[in-house]
Amino acid sequence: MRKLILAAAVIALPANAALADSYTIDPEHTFPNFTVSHLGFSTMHGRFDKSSGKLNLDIPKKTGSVEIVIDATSVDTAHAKRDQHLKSPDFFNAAEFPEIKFKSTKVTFTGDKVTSVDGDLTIMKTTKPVTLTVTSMLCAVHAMSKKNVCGFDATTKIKRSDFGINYALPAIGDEVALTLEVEALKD
Amino acid sequence: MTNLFDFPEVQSFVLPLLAALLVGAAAQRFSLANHGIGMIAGFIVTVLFVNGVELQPLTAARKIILLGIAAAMVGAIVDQRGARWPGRPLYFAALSVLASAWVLGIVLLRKSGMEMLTAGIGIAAYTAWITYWLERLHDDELRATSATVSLGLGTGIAAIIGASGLFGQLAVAVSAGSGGVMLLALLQKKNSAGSVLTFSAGVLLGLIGCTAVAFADLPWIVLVVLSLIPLAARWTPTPASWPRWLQVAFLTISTLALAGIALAYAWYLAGSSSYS
Repeated sequence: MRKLILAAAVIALPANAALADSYTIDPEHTFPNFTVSHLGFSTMHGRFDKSSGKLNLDIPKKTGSVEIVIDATSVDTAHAKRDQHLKSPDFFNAAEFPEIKFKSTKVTFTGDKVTSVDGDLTIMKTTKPVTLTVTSMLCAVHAMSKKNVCGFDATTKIKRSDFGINYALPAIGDEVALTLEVEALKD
Repeated sequence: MTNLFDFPEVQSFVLPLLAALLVGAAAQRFSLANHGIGMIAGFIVTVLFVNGVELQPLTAARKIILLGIAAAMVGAIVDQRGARWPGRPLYFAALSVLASAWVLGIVLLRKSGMEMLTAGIGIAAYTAWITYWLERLHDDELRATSATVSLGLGTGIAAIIGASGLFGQLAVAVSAGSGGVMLLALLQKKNSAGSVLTFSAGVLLGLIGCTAVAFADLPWIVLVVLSLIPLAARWTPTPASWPRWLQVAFLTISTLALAGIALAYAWYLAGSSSYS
């Protein structure tokens, strides 16, 4: 019995140690994306191809922080002309405001899992508080790369007009569902 | 239910045209200012619809709006004082270069070396050129309004093709406001457009053209064609013996032809891909 407990502790220790560290967002597996109503006919999907940031998690202490910087010029809706318009001053004004930022202010745990993240979202220099609902999360050793990885999916809803993106309201929906699908590698 | 005032055509064409007519006629009737002031009144009406009174964050578009209104105020003061110093177009062009640095400096600073230099020179040169040559027309209302109607329309539609509805609406508002002033001018003998119209239209259209290139995707070459419009308005021959409506028609056709060439080229360069 003593050997069994010792073995369990040996297995558990590296994992816990890994989870108490900082992580750097893996841009190859991190794609913030959004959906918005297109004139009420359908729901349009778009994503940002470039993002960066840091993730800090201390699961035993139930604390953490997330900071993500999204490159607004990387918006991608699988339609070049529409992407060009989304980058223009009508929408993200990416030449003038190339970065969209999310910085957490509070990470809420239920058990060992993060269930929500409160933070400030900044689009075009306008900062508003938002709450991300974390729908899934896993911190573990990557089966192939053998690196410590933390990943999560989180969603929130914002009103684009709150951030000064008023073009074509109300035809193109004001409410935008924002989803962050994030993977981060342990530093 | 769709509100009539939600339509961009109403916001950027119908309302500024009506506002220009009303304010221009009232200003002239009560000797408050040259009726060129109607143009900026029309522009402000459009601004209230597309931007409201919000100024934060102070984006390039909002800086352009502020600068256009400031230029109209400077122009109105100069008109009222009857200042006639010969270097006025040059001074105004120099001011427009400073304005372009304030609006577009932040974007230029993100570019590197040669790219920053060439873009900076291009922006300064275009804004100064448009301001200088429009100001040279301030004494002739028909030529000035022909130039600003066509340049506003060309810049606005080009901006829309280049993927910025906001800048497109602002430039078309300058065109529509100028159209209102042009209609008032047709009812009178030869009159001055005033710097209230030419200086503000120069600053607005110069800066909108440059930002459509820098922030949206309008090719530079389109601005080169548009830059010929004030020259066409200045040198298209219209004998004084012609009726004023015929002079206006001739001037507007010649300047609109250049705007048409610029737009055809912008359309060609943008390709056939479109969406809505």
